[in-house]
Formats: sequence, structure tokens, C-alpha cells
Amino acid sequence: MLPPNAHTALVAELRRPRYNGLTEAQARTALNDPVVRQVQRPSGRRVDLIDLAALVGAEAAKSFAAVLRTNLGADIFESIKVRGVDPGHPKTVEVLNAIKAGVPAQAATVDAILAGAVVSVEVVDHPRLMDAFAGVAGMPNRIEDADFTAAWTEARP
Amino acid sequence: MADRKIAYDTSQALTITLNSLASSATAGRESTAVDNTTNKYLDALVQVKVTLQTGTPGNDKGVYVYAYGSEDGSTYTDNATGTDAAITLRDPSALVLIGFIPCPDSGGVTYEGSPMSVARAFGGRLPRKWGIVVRNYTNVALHASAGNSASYTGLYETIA
Repeated sequence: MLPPNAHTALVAELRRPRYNGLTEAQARTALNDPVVRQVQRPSGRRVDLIDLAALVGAEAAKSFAAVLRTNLGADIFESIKVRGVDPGHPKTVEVLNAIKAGVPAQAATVDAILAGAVVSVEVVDHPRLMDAFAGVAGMPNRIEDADFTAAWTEARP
Repeated sequence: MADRKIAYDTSQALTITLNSLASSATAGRESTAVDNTTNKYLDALVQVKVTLQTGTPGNDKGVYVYAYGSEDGSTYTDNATGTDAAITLRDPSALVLIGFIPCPDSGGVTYEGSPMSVARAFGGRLPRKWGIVVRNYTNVALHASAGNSASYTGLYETIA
């Protein structure tokens, strides 16, 4: 059960116009659930493997990673795995060109990567309640259904 | 000749709600402030434990731990409030990073951070009041009901 100050803050939030016309379930989702956005950005000098997957597909990205691991050595590959691969690195260019030569269908994509293609990826960010209730003592990170229903009923009788 | 030794008080829980903490580039959770005016510890070692929900870690694959403080006991670093509450970090933030807990593996794993010195964040002395901010940036929310906590041990010196 929410502490009284948190309940009051929740009721005040649910009275805001942004919740007009929503059902209780929709309002709960709008407040409680992480926000998933599609973000477009240039791949830049370093290509994240997840960006690479968005460009060439998951399977091709896996093959690419495997080729990189073989060519660069496992230790170097592990060190760049999290931070991404550098399309400008001579070894990376070599591997990309090898893929391009071996898989003509991927040639255009490889060129796009080398040129810093725009990738579209999903970004998961925090739910609205973390901003809406910043500084509200005792407000949980996720509001239980029963607490939400009590506040919703009070805010939108 | 007397010996000067470090002494450890009993470990105490920090009041901070970490269950279900979402992953975020900008928002986290602050603890209730610890009042150091009675115990007058020289330092506090903080340890944070987190458990991820099931999923594959992404983003920075880790949890950031920052310190906030108050010189006068009422005005806190940046927009910290001294209560167990959500906090949206400013960019750049005046909070001081005191540690990072890598969370690389999938499968709802529990990760124990290292003991982190709070005094180090403030030039070697604990302020009148202090607390921590935890920001999850693993792309996976923390477990909803268990395996998340923070505690600290106050340090002082003995002469004997």
C-alpha cells in the first residue's frame, strides 16, 4: 500500500489532462511501463553490434562477429564487443570487404556501414513515473495494480 | 607507543527502494540521507546488491552508484532531496560517481558490488549528511521483489 504522500501525488498526476480519455489500463501502462522508442542515428565511427544487426540482420551480424573474432583474436574482440567495432580499423575494413566480396547481396549494406549509415534501433527508457514522481518519498519504482486502482478511482470518479 | 587502528561499526541497511527500478540513461533512485552528526564516522563503505529481471543486459550493462551530500544538513547535491525517491539526474550532474557494478549476464543474475568509499567522493571527509543514488543502465529492470539492497559500514579510528 502506498504511503499517504505517494497516494496523493499519484492522484494529482492522474488528474492531469494527459490522462483524459484513457481507460484505467491505458493510464497504468502510460505511467508504469518503460518507454520504447525507435531512434535513428548515424552509425558513426564505431558500429555497435546491435546497430550492425539492425543493418544486416541478426544472422549476418553473428557471422560478422565470428569473422571478426577469428581475425582480430578473441581477446581483442572481447574488449571491443561492448563498445562496438570500429569500421575504420584496418582489420574491420578487411573483414567487411571480405564479406562484401563473398556475399554480393550484402555489398550495398557493407558500403553503407563503411560510409556511416543511418540505423534505426529500439531504445528502452524509464517509465514516466520516475520523472513524474522524482523526489516523492516512498513512491515505489512500479505501482501495484491495487494502489493504482485506488488512486484512479479517486482521481477519475 | 599507541597504535592507531581502523575500526568497523555494525553494517546497516540504507533505505532505498531498488525493486523494479527501470533501466534509464537519466533517472535512478536516491536513498534516504544518512545523518552523520551523531556517529561522526570518518568514512562509510557502501555495498550495493542488484538482481536483474529475466532478460538480456544491454546499454552499459551495469549499475551506476553515485554519492550525494549536504554540508549544512538540509541542502543536498544537485536535485537530491534526502529521501527514498526517484531522481532524474541533471546533465551534467554534480553527483559523484563512487562505483559501477557490471551486469553482463542474462538470466536474472544477482550481482554484488564492491565496497565503495563515500568519503572519497567528498575529498576524504564525510559530510554532515550523505546518501547514494543508484542508476540502472542494463536495459533490464531490477527484480520486482527480491535481491536488491544497499548497506554501509561506518569507519572510525581507535588509539590504543
